[in-house]
Amino acid sequence: MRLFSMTMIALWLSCTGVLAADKPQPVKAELLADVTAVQPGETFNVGVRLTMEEGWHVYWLNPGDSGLPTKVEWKVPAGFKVNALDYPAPVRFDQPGNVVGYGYHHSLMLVAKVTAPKDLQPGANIEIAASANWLVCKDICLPGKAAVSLVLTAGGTSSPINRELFTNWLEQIPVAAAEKAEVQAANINIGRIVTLKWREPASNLQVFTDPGDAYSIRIIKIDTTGQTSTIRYAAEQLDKSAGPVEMTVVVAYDDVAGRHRSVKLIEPLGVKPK
Amino acid sequence: MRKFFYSFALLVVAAMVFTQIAAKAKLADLAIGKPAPDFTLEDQNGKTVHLADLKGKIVVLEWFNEGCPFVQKHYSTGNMNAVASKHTGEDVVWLAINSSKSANNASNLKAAKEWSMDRPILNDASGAVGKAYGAKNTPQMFIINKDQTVAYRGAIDSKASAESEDIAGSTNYVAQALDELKAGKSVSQAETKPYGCSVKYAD
Repeated sequence: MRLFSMTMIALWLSCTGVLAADKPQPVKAELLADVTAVQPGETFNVGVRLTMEEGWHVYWLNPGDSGLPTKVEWKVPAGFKVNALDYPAPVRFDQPGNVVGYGYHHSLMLVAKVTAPKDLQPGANIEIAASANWLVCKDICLPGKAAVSLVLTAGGTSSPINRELFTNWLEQIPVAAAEKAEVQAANINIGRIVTLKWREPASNLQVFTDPGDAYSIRIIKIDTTGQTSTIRYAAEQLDKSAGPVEMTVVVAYDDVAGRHRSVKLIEPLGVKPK
Repeated sequence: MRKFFYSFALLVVAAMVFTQIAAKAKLADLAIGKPAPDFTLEDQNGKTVHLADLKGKIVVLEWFNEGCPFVQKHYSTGNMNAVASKHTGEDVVWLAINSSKSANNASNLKAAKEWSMDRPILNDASGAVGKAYGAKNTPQMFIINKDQTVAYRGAIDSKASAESEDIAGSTNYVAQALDELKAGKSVSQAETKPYGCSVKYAD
């Protein structure tokens, strides 16, 4: 018996030893809406907001050289429709050893549009739930998850709430590139060149690609002269047997007012060099 | 004239092939089939390991950091040790490399004991070897062929997650490549996208 308990203690120590240090909880998750009550057929916004302690970051859809994408799954009552919006444009972080990450410092809100059914009965409680998971990193990385929910009332008067917060995050979601620029793209020997002729000046471009696991994208050069930007990139296919045929490219920039804005475009993959 | 045409055509094809190879070599830090950078590092017991001495054996390199949840996933479940002990033998040497700035022989020894690792954990706290290989993740795997060229580089398996339960349904690329190499075949998936923590380089 004594041997058994000692073995158990040894086993317990060996299991916990490496992980024993008290783990910080650097992320706070909450679910917010931009209404307090919902009318039949109305579309409103809900968002999972992750607030990080100083120095920590979570990741975009393509985390870059390391990390994991932040993900949210939505659950709405029967009859409601939920439409998860694109992720806000990330920022790039350069880490020692040329390890590049794409993600978010300080905070991130992932927003979804929810539409209530037309035959919504007044007085009912509407429970919106979301489960979020992420990897948060600073000097170490910690996986985290949270289940969050909120209850709204059907019918009655809705007072606007969190409007500024939602506007701030909605404006950081990439819009179709054609809305902000004239886009041209061509194959070049090393890959592709994309030209954006901006309608309004754009500066400090950062380019983010989400090619999935089958491809590796290398941004070769980003040039901006006047209101024309050119982006050259090379695509290397890692998995020869499979792979997507296109990818999302997000171009983040500072607008004339110095605000962080972004556009997205769809680029083909598997383009043979000329 | 005809002969001239053929030579010219051959030259054009050769030039095209060369351009593509050159473009690819530029893309990759370390291409499959190219020589593996040599190194000499100390293991957790202070014993020196020199890659060139291992010529004639298949060498697996596993970038390691005991504090990383993706590494922990493969150790807390026993997965990494199971794959390593299954394949390590006369012809295969498995080396873990710790390029974290905080790594030292004592911390590597502690990790080896806690996770019952009976293979070397090499101390690369300067990050020189990690950078020579372009290692960016823990875990990140390389397989070096008997002639010391790179046979595989990438992820340990096909499910990029820190969740232990994802191991069961995943393809272990390293096990697959080792099986193929031992059977005298070429590696079917020689390059995959690694996943994990960033290597915590000093600079």
